[in-house]
Amino acid sequence: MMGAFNTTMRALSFNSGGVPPADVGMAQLVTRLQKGEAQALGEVYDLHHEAVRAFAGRLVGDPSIAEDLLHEVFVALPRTIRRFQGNSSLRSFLTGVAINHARHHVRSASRRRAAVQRMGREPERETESPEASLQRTTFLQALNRALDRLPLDQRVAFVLCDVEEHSSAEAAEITGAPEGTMRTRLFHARKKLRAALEQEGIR
Amino acid sequence: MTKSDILEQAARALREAHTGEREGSGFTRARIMVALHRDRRRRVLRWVVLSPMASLLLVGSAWAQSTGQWPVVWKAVASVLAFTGVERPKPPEPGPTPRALPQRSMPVPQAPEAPSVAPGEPESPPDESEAAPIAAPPELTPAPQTPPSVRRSARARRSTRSVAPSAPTSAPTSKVEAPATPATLPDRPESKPDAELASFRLAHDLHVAGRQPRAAIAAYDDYLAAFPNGRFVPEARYNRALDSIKVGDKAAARTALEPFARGAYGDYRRKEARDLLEALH
Repeated sequence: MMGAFNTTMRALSFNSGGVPPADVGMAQLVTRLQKGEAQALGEVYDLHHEAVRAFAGRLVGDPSIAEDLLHEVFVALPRTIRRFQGNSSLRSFLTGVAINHARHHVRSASRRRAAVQRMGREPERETESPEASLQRTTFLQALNRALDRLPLDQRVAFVLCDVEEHSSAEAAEITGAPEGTMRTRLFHARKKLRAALEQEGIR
Repeated sequence: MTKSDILEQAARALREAHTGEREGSGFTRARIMVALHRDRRRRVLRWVVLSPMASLLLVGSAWAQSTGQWPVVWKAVASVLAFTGVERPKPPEPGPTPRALPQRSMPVPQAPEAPSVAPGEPESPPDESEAAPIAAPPELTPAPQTPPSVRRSARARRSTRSVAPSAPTSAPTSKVEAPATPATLPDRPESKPDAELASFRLAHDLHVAGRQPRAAIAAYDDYLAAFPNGRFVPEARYNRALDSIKVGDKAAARTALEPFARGAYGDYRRKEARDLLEALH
């Protein structure tokens, strides 16, 4: 409960400094969440599920597994929110939680892709494609296979910085890693991904 | 397409492929809320069930410790939780007895000792004027408490001969403070305690059978001579005193009972010894 108190106090002090009331509302929402209000969890879901789902999808490369990851993040939120200090946005915090839970989801998505590839058939897509869409789908599959070869840390760095267009400082804040480390990871991720995509025949 | 274009294209493709919108998001929300509700219910249930159980265990342990029932409780818990991992070594069989001992499932006297000194029972009963007051001292109606060690030894002789050696080896904080008080398990795997137990068991069986008090006295004497500082010395002396009463040796009985009545063995058999001494006078 001390964390909740700190968060509220930080929000109030920001408010007196001219921070918009939306932050106060968020702080109150976090406080309610830390108190264990189910309704607050629903509100947080409504506010952030799209962002977390998008990130999860980009990270694991599979919509259904991304949905599982999203579910896991929000089910764990009443426990994990106790660690939230209010130093970053709630969205960043949720992204960090998703990263923490992503490891086995990434593995299972990778296994699934490998299995699909072995079986020689494509997974059914929601949007049936004309020629351009088919090309995009093929590219995405190759991209996902290339991403599967990256270590998770580097994959996270690529998704956060290049796909979601966070700065390295923001990415470092989300992952809890030093900014320099994040830059190094991104550098290696780009290098490996480039090589992997070339191996996949994409030039 | 340049190399940097490849990565840009890859990033753009990922961004467009996963926008975060999904038709089933409401369903996921519902799943999350149900999971939260279930988790909360489980937590409440855990408190409702586990807290009383923990309290009960705590209070029960405290009670058992304070009343000296801890070994019994521990044994029951251990048997329930199947702590009986190691088979105890079988104690040596007692030597040949004057007569075949009856096969009893409970060789330890659970009933008061006083009825065993009733005037009708002794082999050579004392005269009626002496036996009558001994037979029924008013305070002897409640069953005297058998020391935990003896109770344990009795249990050890039952068919369930499987007690983990990790069981507590000392009796609870009983009021008996004499150093010779039987405060440890009688069935340790070492050879000496086994021999001691066998010797005591022989005498004890004769005593409990009640028909051969002289043989019991001789067996107790053997035990006391062999193990003057043994764990069952107080019990042996007390039982020997009872057997002395049975054979009419009141002087020996008085001599043996006086330390008990005086409190030399703490509260162990103190009250019974006092009653018996009073009855013997």
